[in-house]
Amino acid sequence: MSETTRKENFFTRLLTDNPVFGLYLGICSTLAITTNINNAIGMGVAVTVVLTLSNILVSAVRDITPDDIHIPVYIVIIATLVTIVGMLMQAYTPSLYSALGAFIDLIVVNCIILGRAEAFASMNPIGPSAKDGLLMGISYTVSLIAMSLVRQILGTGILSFSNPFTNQEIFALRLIPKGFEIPMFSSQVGAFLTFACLAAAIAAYKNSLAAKEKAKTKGAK
Amino acid sequence: MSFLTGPMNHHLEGHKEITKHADVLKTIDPDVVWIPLVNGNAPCKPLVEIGDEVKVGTKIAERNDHFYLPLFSPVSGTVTGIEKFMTSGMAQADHLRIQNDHKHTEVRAFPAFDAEKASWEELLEFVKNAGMLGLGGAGFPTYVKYLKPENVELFIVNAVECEPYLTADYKNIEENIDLLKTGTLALYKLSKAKKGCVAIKEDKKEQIKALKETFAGTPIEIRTVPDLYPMGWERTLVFQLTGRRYDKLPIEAGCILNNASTAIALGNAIDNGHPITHKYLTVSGEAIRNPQNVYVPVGTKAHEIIDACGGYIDGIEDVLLIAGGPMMGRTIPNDQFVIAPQNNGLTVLPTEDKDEVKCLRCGRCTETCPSGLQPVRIQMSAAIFDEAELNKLYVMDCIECGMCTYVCPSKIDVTENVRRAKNFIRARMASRAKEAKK
Amino acid sequence: MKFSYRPSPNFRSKRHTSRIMMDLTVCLLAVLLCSAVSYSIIYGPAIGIRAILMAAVSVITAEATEAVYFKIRKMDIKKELEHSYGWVTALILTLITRIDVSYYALIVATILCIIVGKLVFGGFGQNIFNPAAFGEAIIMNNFAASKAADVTAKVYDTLSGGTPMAAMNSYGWIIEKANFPDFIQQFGGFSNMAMGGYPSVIGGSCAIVILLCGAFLLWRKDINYHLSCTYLVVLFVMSLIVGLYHGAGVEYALFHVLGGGVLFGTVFMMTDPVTTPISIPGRVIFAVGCAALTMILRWRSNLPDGVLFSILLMNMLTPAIDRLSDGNQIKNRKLIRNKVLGVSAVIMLITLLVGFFGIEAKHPVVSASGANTTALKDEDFAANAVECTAQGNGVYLCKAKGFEGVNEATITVKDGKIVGFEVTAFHDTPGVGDMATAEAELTRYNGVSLDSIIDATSGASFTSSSLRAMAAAALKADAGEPVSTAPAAAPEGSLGAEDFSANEPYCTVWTNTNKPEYVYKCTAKGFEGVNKALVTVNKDEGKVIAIEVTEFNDTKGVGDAAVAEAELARYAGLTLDAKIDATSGASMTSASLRAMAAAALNAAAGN
Repeated sequence: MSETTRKENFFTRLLTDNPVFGLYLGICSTLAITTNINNAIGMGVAVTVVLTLSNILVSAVRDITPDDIHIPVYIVIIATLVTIVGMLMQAYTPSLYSALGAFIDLIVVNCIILGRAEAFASMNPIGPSAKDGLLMGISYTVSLIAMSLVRQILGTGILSFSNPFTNQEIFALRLIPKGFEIPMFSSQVGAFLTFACLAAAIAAYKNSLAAKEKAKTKGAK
Repeated sequence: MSFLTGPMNHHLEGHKEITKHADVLKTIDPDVVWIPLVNGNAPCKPLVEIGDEVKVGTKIAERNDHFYLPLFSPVSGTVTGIEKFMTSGMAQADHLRIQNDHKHTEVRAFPAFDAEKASWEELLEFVKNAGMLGLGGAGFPTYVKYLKPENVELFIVNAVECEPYLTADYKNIEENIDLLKTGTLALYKLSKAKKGCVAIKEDKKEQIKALKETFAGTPIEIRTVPDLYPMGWERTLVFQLTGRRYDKLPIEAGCILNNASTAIALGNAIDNGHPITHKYLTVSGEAIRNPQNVYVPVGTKAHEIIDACGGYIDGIEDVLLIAGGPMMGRTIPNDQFVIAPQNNGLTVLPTEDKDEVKCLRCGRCTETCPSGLQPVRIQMSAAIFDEAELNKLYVMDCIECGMCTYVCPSKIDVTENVRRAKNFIRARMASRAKEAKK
Repeated sequence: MKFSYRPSPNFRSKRHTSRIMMDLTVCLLAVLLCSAVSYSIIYGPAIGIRAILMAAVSVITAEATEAVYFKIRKMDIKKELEHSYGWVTALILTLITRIDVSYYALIVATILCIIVGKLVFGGFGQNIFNPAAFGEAIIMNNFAASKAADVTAKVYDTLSGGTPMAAMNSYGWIIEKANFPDFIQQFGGFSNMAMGGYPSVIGGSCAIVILLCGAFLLWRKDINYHLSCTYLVVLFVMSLIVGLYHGAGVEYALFHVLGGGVLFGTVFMMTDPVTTPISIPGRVIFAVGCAALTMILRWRSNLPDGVLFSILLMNMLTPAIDRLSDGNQIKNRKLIRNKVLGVSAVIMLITLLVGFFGIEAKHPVVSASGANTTALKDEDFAANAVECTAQGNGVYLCKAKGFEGVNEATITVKDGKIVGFEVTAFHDTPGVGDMATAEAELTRYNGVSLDSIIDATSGASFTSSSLRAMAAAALKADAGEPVSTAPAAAPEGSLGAEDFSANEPYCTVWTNTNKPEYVYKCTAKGFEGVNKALVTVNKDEGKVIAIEVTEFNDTKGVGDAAVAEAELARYAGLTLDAKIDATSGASMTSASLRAMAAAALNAAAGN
């Protein structure tokens, strides 16, 4: 496969095999925290780290885990990782920690992590599992960024990003003049609406891809 | 109706003025008649052979399964064959081909009969052997209704004729009011009912007067009903006259009904010894040149009748040829079918396209459905093939009267959708029966 | 001759959906015209024209949105637009918003309600929620503050106490029979309400025209009478019963029916066939539910009017109601009737109970009138419990109690006049109180001094008073006068004699490795949260050595003045017999710190 197709494939897969908009996993945290980009990136990085490491660990112990207790075992692994990540965040990025609040602990029950552990890491060697975790985490982060872009710009009119470690604002652009923003997008209503529209757009994209595939195979016949 | 239900009927534009006042055309005498050898869906066995001579009144076929019905020839001539083609019910059936010799030689179909002096059993036997069948459209052998008349409170002669465009019954009564009297009294006696009446729409003032005069001194009342559709349907009429509802047969509510034409035919059989050989037919519609009623022999082909009425209006290239009235009659895609005893009309309408919009759930169909169904919900459930919900909605109770499509402001084919739902349920039940048999 | 086949029946009535929609459009335009005329007469032609302009803007936006959508879906634009009837939604939306809503808000709400309220579900005939109600909900939630200020000033400020619904709200939704005539006279009496004399929403005022339109639509058989009649009757009866229970008269029930969006909702929104149940029993249940919800929302929620949200909530239940009333209307009539009666009875009972026990007459403390006659320095703000902290450079962080929550603002004072007023936290009723925090309202504070008289924002008197309280406090603080109305800075007695029961202090030994130094881990309640500190005490001397705050849960920017290094240093050497001053402006937090210190000292002394 040539480089361009690989890249194309990667981006396509990013959209269509997206855990949030493609598989509809981990929606709870997506809806709750994507009010601004800081939170989105922070959560995304946290989930990616936990996901990758948990995939590695689960894959490492996959042969010695008895089948009947494999779920508690995975949960223990994931919970430990989440606690570590949570403590690190509390230490080094306290503002992000307080903004994300309870949702850091809820990463434990984020369906993506357990889902990938069940579906992939428990059956595959360490290398591919790690890669899968990393890619899943990245596409999760990308979808969070997409959601929060929409919600932040429409809801507050400002696109801003601060350094999570030092709380210093790196940039803040006002894209929608003051008084013209739509506050509902910063609340849960907007979360659901944005999620629905993005999910619909990705589903439409997937359908058009499938239609193209069908046309290709029909044409080839 | 209570506050919680709709009126379950609706006033339709009747278009009866087109044919109400014109004379009945009686000159149609086709060269060939094809007698359909079916009664409803049941086949009738022919009793004559190819080459036989027949006269008006000769018994030519009979139905002899769990019901008995004799068929008689409407013309004199020779039997020349049996052909299979489509009936006005859109089913393939055998037809007995008779070459008309235009001599109208008659033979007495059955012996003279004094209805007043005869006993109840004799009267019933007479009705059975005279080949009386429901001329209102059902075609059901009449005697079956009177096999066990118990606790009948009201006997009703249905002269309502609620189908738009049709005036055949009206003309029939107008011309044969004495036969109506004979037939009605005979059926009234058969029904052992406490009371009897003739039900007619209240806007037919002249005919009501004539009926009252004719039936003066008899135990038969003349009762008027409002000009609504489908007032002529059994259930609606029984509810209107008695306020009662029933489950399967009107006799559960203490009523027996018969069409006015059937009563007239019986009167004709009793007084004149004539079987059912000819029919009053309304040929109407906006695409026929001379709309009028005609009096034709059973077995006449439709195109001959249309030609006799002046043919189609110039300039119209595309018509809907409907056997019956436009509400419950079916469009037949050709004009080669013949008139059977239960046909009442030929409505010829110019084909028009409609402007269909999405359903806006206005609920009009639900309010006017005479069976109390919810056509919109049936449509929605049928679209997702939800069998349980369809049964909960009593979809099989639909009589396809067409009321829902009439009132729909979005011009949706509601009745057709309900029909498809019914077919779906029937298919499911059939496949389940097949599974059970294995 | 061609013989076509069409399934029976081939006979249709002449009435088409387009004709029904045309009738509806005509009626809506009639109501719009009546409103425009009445606004022009009372407030001047500019306002009347604005009403018509808003309608035009909304209609054009709706059509444009639908056209774009159809273009994307590659459908025949003209045909679809004709049958999608977007302009009806737009007109209804305009008629249920206030006239001072900005054009931007209207455009955004129209776009969102057409897309999300209608097109996403499949277009006309398929939507669950009434799109116009949805659009108005968006405006109420998002754009309550961004209003056209000049219009608000002209129209709403002339009215004391805001709209009738808001006024009734401030009275707790019940007024004794004797007081009613005065109350209704504010709005010119019932006849004025019926003729469109008071402004609420654009389409809400001309009761007579709306009723005429309703009669017209019924005559043309475009709408069904079951819904509207049941709704009005049930609403009237329930409010009558509740009114009688509380000692109000028939006027109370009449007020409920004539006021707010009831009449408009009955004729134009509740009769929307798409979003209401299909069968008549279903519609009866829907109407009863709407009436119940209208009443409960009016009584118990902080929304200005309950009609809108009652319709939206019942729309949500429409499919369930449809399923409930499914069946053969002849064969199941007894069953369906019982279901309807049962459900209605339960709903009405709940409503009546809420009405009997859930509402209480209120007598508003702060004057409901918008105009003020007292200078800022003389106004009594005791009820607002205002606190201001100086930030330096004339900037003050203030907070004050409003209607039900604490509002916070940053006020900049220069030369005894306010030059900046920014609301940083708003905890009053959205949609009502935030009229006072709109940009236009806040600019009135520019140049205000202690001698100025500031009018309240009508309809948001409590929030206005909290803002004025903060302004006064900031000005006073700048002038050096004592600001806080909180308890005095210096406690009367010594530390040991102070009563800290409200702070619930609690101390446990943390370490005592460095005897005689004991470190106690303490917690105590402050203003709104629990503060935690490590208090190091010399057990032998009974003195506090140091106090280190580990967890601060009070109001940032206010209470943490008390936990600053400099302030904590004052605790060094503290004994139970000593006196220690509170940090001004942060009295609660100070109290919690003192409580912890006292508790630690007591524990060390073995008390």
